[in-house]
Parts: sequence; C-alpha cells; structure tokens
Amino acid sequence: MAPLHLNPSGPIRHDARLGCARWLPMDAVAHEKSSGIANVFVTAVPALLFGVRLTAAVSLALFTAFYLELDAPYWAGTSAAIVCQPVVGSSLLKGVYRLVGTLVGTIAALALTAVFPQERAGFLFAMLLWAAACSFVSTLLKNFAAYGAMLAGYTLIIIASSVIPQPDQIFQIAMNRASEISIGIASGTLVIALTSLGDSPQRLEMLLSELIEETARHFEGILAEPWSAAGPEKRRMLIKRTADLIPVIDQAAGESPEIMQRRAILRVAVDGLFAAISGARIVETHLRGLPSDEANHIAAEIADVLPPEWSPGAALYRDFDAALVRKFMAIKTNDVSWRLAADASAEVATGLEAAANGLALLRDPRTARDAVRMPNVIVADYLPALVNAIRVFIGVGIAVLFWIVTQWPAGLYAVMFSGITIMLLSPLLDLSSKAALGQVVGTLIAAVVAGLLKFTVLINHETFLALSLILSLALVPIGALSVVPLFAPVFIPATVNFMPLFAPTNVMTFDPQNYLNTALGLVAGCVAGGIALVLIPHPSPAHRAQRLVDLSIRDLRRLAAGRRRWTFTQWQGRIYSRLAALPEEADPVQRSRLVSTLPVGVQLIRLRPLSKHGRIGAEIRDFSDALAAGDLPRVRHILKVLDKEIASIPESEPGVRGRMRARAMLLAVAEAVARSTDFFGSQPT
Amino acid sequence: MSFVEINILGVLISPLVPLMALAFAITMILRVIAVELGLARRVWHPALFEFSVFLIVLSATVVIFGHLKIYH
Repeated sequence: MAPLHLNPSGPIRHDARLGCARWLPMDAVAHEKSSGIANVFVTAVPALLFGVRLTAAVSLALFTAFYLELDAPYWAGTSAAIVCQPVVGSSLLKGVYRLVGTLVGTIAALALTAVFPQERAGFLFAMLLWAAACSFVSTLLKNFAAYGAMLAGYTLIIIASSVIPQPDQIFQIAMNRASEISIGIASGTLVIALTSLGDSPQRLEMLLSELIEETARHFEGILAEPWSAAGPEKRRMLIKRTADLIPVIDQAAGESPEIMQRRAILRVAVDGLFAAISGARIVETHLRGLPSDEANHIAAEIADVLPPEWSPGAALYRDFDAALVRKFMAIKTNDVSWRLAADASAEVATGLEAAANGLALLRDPRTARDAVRMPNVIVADYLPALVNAIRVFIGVGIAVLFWIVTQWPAGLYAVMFSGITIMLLSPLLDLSSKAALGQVVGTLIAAVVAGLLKFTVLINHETFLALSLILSLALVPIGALSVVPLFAPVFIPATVNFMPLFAPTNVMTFDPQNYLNTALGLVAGCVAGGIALVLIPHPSPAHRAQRLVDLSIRDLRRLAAGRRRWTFTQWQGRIYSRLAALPEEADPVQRSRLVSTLPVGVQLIRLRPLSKHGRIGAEIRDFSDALAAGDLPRVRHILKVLDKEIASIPESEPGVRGRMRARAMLLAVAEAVARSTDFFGSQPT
Repeated sequence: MSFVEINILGVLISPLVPLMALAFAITMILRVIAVELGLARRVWHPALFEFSVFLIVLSATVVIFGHLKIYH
C-alpha cells in the first residue's frame, strides 16, 4: 500500500525523499505559485505513468490467463492490481511473499477438502479457524512476511467460495485459482520491476544519514543543555523515525540483491540507533540528577572529547565514531560519576558506529563490515494479534451464517470480501475503521465505473486490444489517484476491486441482473468487514501502551529473578520491538518508563558474571532479587553497601577499571530506578 | 523433447512448475555468488538482470531435462 502522508492543506508534489506524491504545506504554496503549472506537471506525470503501468500489468495478466483458457481470468487481473505498488521494492518482495502465501493457502484448501469430504459445516468451521490463525500470524510478523501470511488466509477463502457450489471440482478449481493468482503476481511484478529502477536504497540512505546526524545533534544538545524540556520530545521523534526505517529497509532489499543479502548490517544499524538514543538518555538522566555545577563540568568534559565536526557530518563515518568509542573507553578516572557518563557516551558512539556501517553499505558496499544478527522474531504484545484473529473468526463467521440462512446467490462474494476486508485492514489498527469506510466508497466507485464501461462500451467490442484500451480508460485515472495520499484510502481499494466487478471472461456475458448481484455481494462484504472492524475494535492506544509498559517491567523482573537468561542482544531486541510498537498517542510517562527498563536490564545482564563469585556476587544476587520483588528501599540499601564494598577494595588489587565500571553500572541502575520509583517499586502481579 | 504432467495424488501439475522452482533456486545461488564477487553492484537494473538470468537458467533447465527425458 502506498505510504500515506496526509497533510491536505496544499497541492500535491512528488517528494523524492518519500518516493511518492505528497501534499505541501500552505507556506510552500505561496512560494511556488509562480511555477504552479510546472509543479502540476511534475506531480501528475509520475502518477499517470503509474496508472499506465497498472493497466499494462493487468492486461498482461489477463492476456496470459485468456491464452491458457483459465475459467476466471479476472482473478489474474485482480492479483496483478494488488501486486502493483508505486515503490518498486515493495512489488518485487511482495510478489515473492504473495506467491508463497498463495501456495500455502492452496495446499490448505486441498487438505481441508480431503479432511472434510461432503461435510460442509466442518469445512467452513476449519476455514474460519485457518483464516483466524493466518490473521494472528500476519499481525505478529512484519512487513511483507505478514502479507504472505495474510494471503495464505484469504487464498483459502477465495478457493473455498469457488468450490462450495461444486465440491467435486475442488482440485481443478484450486489449481485454476492458484494459477490465476500466480500469473497475476508474476505479471504485476514483472511490469513494475522492468519499467522502474526504483529509488528505495537512495531514500534509505537519505533517511539513515539524517537520523545519524540528528542523533549526534541530540546528544550534543543534551550536553549543552541537560535540563532542556525539548530533549524527551526530540528523543520520542527519533525513536519513532528509527522504527519507521524498518519497512524502508525491506523495500531497499527488494530492489538491490546486495542489500538483500547483507541486510543484517542494516538491522544492526537500526539497533545501533536505538542504542545511541538509549545511551544519550542515560547521560541525560545522570546529568539531571547532579548539582548544576557538577553536571555542567561533566557535560563540558564529554563535549571536549567530541571532535568539532562530529555532528555536522563526521558521525556519518564509521572510523570517526570508532575513534570516539576508543577515546571514551580509554578515559581513566576514579570518579564514578564521570565513569558512568563516559561509558554511556561510548554507547552513543558505538551505536552510531553501527549505524554508520549501515550507511557505508548503501554508499560504498565494499567498505561495509558484515554483521551477524540472528533472525529473532520478538513479539511486542500478543493481544492485538489475538483481537485480529477473533475479529476474522466472528466477522467472516457471521457472513457465512448470513449466506447459509438467506441462501443469497451472491452471498459467497460477501463472505469472500468480508474476509479480505477484515484481514487486509486489521493491521492498520486505529486507522482500520476509516480505511474500511474508504474501502466501501472505493468499491462503490469501482462498481459504477465497471458497470458503465461493461454495459455501454465493452458490449460492442470483441478483441483483446479493445478490452485493454477500455480497461485503461478506468485503470489509468484510478491508478493515478491511488498514489495521491489524500485519495489513496479510496482509490487503492477501487483499483483492487475493479477487476472482480468488471470480470472479463473468455466468453463475455452481459447480464445486468447478475452484475448487480455480484456488485451488491462485493459491497455487502466490504460493509460487513467494516462493521466487524468497528464492532470489535482494537485495544485503545492508551491500553496498548500500558500493556507494553507492564510487559516490560514483568520481563525485567523475570530477568532480575534469574527466571529468564536473555542475552544482551535479546534484551535489547525485546525492548526495541516494544518501542517500535508503542502507539504515537502513548503518554510521555509510559514512553519514559518503557525506555527506562532498557538500561536497567542491560546493566543487570552485564552484572550477571559478577554475581557468581564471592561476597560481592551474593550482594548482587540480593540486589537482583530485591529489584524483582519491587522492594526499592532494599534495592537502595544494597546498592549503597555494594558501592562502598567495591570502593573499599585497595587500588593495588588488579581489576581497578572493571570495578569502576561495575560501580558505574550500579549507579546507572540506581538513577534509572530513582527516576521512576512508583514504576519499579510497584508490586509484581 | 516432450513433457508430461506430474501426477501428485491425482492432482496433475504442469512439469514447468518444478523446473521453475529449480531454476529459481539456481538463480538465487548465482545471485549470492554475484554479490560475493562484487558483480551485482555493477549491474544497472538489478531486477531486469535477475529476471534475464532466471529466464536463461529456466531455458537451460528445460533443454537439459528435455534431453534427459526425465518427464517422459
């Protein structure tokens, strides 16, 4: 789906950074009035070209399906329309996942028919379970993999809807539907891939370099003014924009084989940006807790280590950041406060070094160092996935019951499109009800346009060329409007639903009554899907945010109690996934609490090796247990005792720097806990 | 050179399907090699290049399997 950038206060412009058209603010309008016609031209041409490509993809799919004499060639056209995306990477990768999803859905259809022969109730119940399971998995997965799972769900519904009237033809129908859908995917992917070079790697490079520079500036801003109220807001924006990089990485991987093969580097780069933001927060928390003189002194000391050209551009280079890490780590001090600030600053530089390595992959792949990152599917929260699955089961189930009770001939269309609407729109979370409205309006527009063209223009023509030209009359403008962000929610569904309504077949039948029944079934399915989305809503953003915070403190307590042995990377991945899932509307307190669990967990994992030996080890175990129990007075007491004990070890004993680091870690935990006492001190449930 | 459909539990599947899967797997291996050798970054249009390589591999696979008469 085209990225939505809604700001309907000005005209549409093509934005190279976003890779699509967008609305400009009004102040930009005044500035650009003089060149208005040129701007309209610049915006309209790429949009119309997309419409032409969409028509070409649909026509190619239809031609192939007609040539192979498949019984419902419009499914090939529909599939091609769904695969066509304005961003090239989206199409290539989406096409592959869609093929896999279609194959899995077809196998499921065959298996269910074999398990429930001549038993319609069992088959329909199993179909609902399968669709709900696919929706569940699709919500848990990310980006195009999620799309593949979704496809496995509604391919089964599409096949089942065709099979139910003639169950003895299951194998033939399943093979035909799978072939039609696969032809559509191949055609859409081919046309989009061959007619555009794509610019996702360039967009990713631009976004990543901006984020590296802004994170470096954010850190410098903290050092210049630790008490500034703008710091937390800037951090919130950086976290959100860093999380938004993930789909762009997938798009870039879809366009470049090298990025696809080495995309672990980019994932590590995103983790690095999160780590840098977290390190900057530790410095900020520490400086805010100090008397102003001392805080200014430490901030000035750190700022002195930073090279003057760091934030204006040097941070983009891995070697500069690596040198900075070494400088911070090499600092020798007996001041635990200074040690903490230096270590946290080293974390910022380490994170930016990883991000700069990702940038090197995009700018000059030869210089990028390969990174190892095990694929690790971490689920931020299972609740939204569960709600989506329940909604699919109940929503499609009611549509099935309605069809059985009323024996409505077009009821199967309603079943099919209620399933597609619910599954397709559920991942949009809070926007899904509005998107469902767009789906209904778009389908109505498509029904009117398809009806007019079919019964007034197509009726007099027989050749495939004429069919393609007639299709272009609808698909070029609808496709062009679908890339305009303001109209996308209405015209993307219109492009998808136009083909099943127009329904060209090898022997065309022009039966207005049948057309109206089909259109009514399709619109009714979209309306039923929309109603299900409204009546079984997603958990509210505030509730989702609170759950993410609660799950994180629960995990932290498990980690502290030793019930979970997560590694450093696993813990970071867990919290990063929750930060990325945090709704934009989340309360700043919730956001701050979630971020604060990250350094506490990290320090607990770093302290783990020390907890195995001697008296200090026993104290660290006590401290972990007290933290797990939410007993903050005891935590504070043990931290003080521990700090004194470690400080009392004579300097002549080996391991001075290690001891200083351990004290800095304990101080970081103490400060994070002190900042949110009611959160860390709440009773475990 | 002729092919017959593959019968899997009574479902007839085009012989091209496994050949396409095989060609896709070979293309993926070639892509890994191209990236490792640095050839991939010299390509102007990666999607067009990959599609062309896939077609060449698929054609070669069809010819080879046709001569081996595996599907007769």
